[in-house]
Amino acid sequence: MAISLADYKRSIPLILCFIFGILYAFEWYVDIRVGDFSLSYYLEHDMLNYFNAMYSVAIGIGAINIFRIHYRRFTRRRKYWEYSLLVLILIPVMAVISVFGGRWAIDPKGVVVPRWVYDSLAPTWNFLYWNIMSLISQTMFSLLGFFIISAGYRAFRARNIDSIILLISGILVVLGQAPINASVWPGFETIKNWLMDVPNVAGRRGILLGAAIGALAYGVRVIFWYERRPTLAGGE
Amino acid sequence: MHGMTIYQLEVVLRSGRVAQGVLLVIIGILTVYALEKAKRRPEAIKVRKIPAIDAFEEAVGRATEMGRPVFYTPGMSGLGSLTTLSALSILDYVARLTARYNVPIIVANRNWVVYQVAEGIVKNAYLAEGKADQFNPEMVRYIASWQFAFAAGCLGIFFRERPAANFYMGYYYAESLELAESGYRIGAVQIAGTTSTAQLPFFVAACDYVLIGEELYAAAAFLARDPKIVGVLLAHDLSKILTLAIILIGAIAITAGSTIILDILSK
Amino acid sequence: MSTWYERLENIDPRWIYLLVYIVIAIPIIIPLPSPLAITPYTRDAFEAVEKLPPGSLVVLSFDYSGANPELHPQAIAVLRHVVRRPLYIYIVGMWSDGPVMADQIWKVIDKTGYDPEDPTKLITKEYGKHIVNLGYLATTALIVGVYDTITKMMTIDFYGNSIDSLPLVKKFDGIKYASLVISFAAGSPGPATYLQYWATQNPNMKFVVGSPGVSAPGFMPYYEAGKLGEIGYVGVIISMRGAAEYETLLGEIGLTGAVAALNAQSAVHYLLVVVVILGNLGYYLRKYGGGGR
Repeated sequence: MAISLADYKRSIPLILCFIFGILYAFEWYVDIRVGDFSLSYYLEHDMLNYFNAMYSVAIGIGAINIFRIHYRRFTRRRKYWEYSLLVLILIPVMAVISVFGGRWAIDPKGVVVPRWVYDSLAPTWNFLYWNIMSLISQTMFSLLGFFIISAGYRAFRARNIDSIILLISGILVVLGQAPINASVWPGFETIKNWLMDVPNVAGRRGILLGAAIGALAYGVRVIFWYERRPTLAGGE
Repeated sequence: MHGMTIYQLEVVLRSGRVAQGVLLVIIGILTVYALEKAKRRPEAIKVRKIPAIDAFEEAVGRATEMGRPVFYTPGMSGLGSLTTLSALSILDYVARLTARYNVPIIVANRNWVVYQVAEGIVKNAYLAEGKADQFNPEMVRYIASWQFAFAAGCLGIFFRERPAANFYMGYYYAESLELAESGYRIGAVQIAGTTSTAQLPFFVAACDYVLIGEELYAAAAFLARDPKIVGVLLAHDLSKILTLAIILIGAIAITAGSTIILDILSK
Repeated sequence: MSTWYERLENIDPRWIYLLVYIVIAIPIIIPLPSPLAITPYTRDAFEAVEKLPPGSLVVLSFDYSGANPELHPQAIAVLRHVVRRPLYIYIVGMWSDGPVMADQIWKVIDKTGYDPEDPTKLITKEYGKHIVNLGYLATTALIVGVYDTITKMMTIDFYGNSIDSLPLVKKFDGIKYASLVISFAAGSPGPATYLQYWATQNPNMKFVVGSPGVSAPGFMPYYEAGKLGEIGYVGVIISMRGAAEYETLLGEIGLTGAVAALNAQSAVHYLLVVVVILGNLGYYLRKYGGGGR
């Protein structure tokens, strides 16, 4: 775990990770105040603004990646190159329309576009967003309904005692959840509520607890350099 | 002196967090103790097998035999989530395997910052395996930030490029079942790992192996095959024992009519 | 040649998808009345709004995107409820589309309700005076900051009006004055963010969550805690069923369309049970009847 100034590319990220890890953990519990300055407030508000700014700028690199991949696919006429061409055209079109006709184009905190530009582009933006993007999103979401049935059909086989218990409790919860069943037999609702409130909550609490402690221990490992791969992007 | 303001330094304990802070310090000490103990005597710590972890190499081997790529996604959350960091640690291992076995890897990212870290990890993994010339930046892709646009992009990858092994590590939302079920349709072997309790049932139903909750954090250490990292698992378990002890004592106290544990924990 | 039970065990999923399509379409095309039992989670959520004293401030947080089929009906029913009661309303969203969805509901909803200043008087609620859409809370800094003061953290509301010109903001300059926060949460960021940043500062502030079906079990530990007066939720509206129950409690059947959709939901629940049983039947017949493994 040697840190050396000569190996600054490795050392600086590790040192920053340590300092900020300890600092943010510390400020959550202890506030240091000098006059009007409050360390906790500064770290939770002003510093977050800097992070948000860096984060927003970094999206440009993601966009470059998208363009690079689809440009190659288009120029080399790989399979389905037509869709890559669509992506290459539509991303800049939507970006320009969003900047000049989107909801924040007239927000005085940002760059304000002339009102006539916004008024002429806003209907196009609304159409593209609500009639295309939003609907496609809903279509993808609705695929879940189909997938749940096919996954349930395939996966819920009573192969052993564990899966038999899972199958029976699953069927009881499904029957209890179907609204009509309350009028068929109110017992379905009672059984479902018990299954959801008792074994389900107990199991979830167990997983939540384990995951939270695992996260805490992992965080300690990252801060104290036992786990360096995320900080150094894979380098040791 | 005229015009000079003297400020007083105040150190204030933030209310409602003192007990949390003490517990954090204790768990931190337990973690460091466990890691140091494992460094000195790793053979003293017995570890149960997690089938999903053994399946990693098997899955990549299968992809190699079939001549089809490996698909990996580090989840939907950003770099601020420890689940994503753990998924990135596991990516390092999977990328080294793919480099070693000469099988292409496709890493799909929803978050543009995670994409950059993932690219660095895969590149370094290929470098470490001596296969730097085989690294192609197109292996690591930023798909989209919208949840279902990302899912659609991944489904497109599945049906066009037909990966033989799919790894879903990290935090997921509603798209988890879409990914897993579509992966099943193309005949891929699937290994998932998530702390999201809402999506675990879908992964358990549709995937071949699942890392549940803390197993994801442990896997990052396990896959490195570093003997002292069993200390990580010991740290988890010691922390859990402490938490369970507090819960048990608190439950007994409350049943007996005393709120002392509640009062201490709410300080 | 495969036997009939082997075919039963391995039905082509496309037939299943077709069945799902038919089973959902028929009840939507032919709507029938549906009996509905009210769950305690929805009743508690309803009571949390119903029992608020006149003049209280309620914050509705729209944390979903698109016309989410589970959360949007919930949001319609709850917004109608808070508009009808003598309450003041702030609308916020931790998802960028959230306030847009709120706007879409506000445009069409019945705005008649009781005056917060004179609870016996029926009026038409006005934007700016009784309800303000503060818009998207893009950053954690903003979420934390608006708790203390809105005017120092924001300059315009969702519609571009100057925040200082809105009478409601002059009256309640900060979320800290709110008695109840209701979050319609599709995922993250979601209500846990409010518990982390707002509930820890004001233990008297109550929280209700409107949740999709899959996320609901995850909120249950917090609901149990909320019932005991700890930091948590005092009510959970679960999925479209919760919206239908809320609509029923409100007495405005047909407001959200959730009740009609429930028949389709029930039908597909039954289909799931049927296909699971068929799959297991095929499996057991093959294993024990056909001499298979």
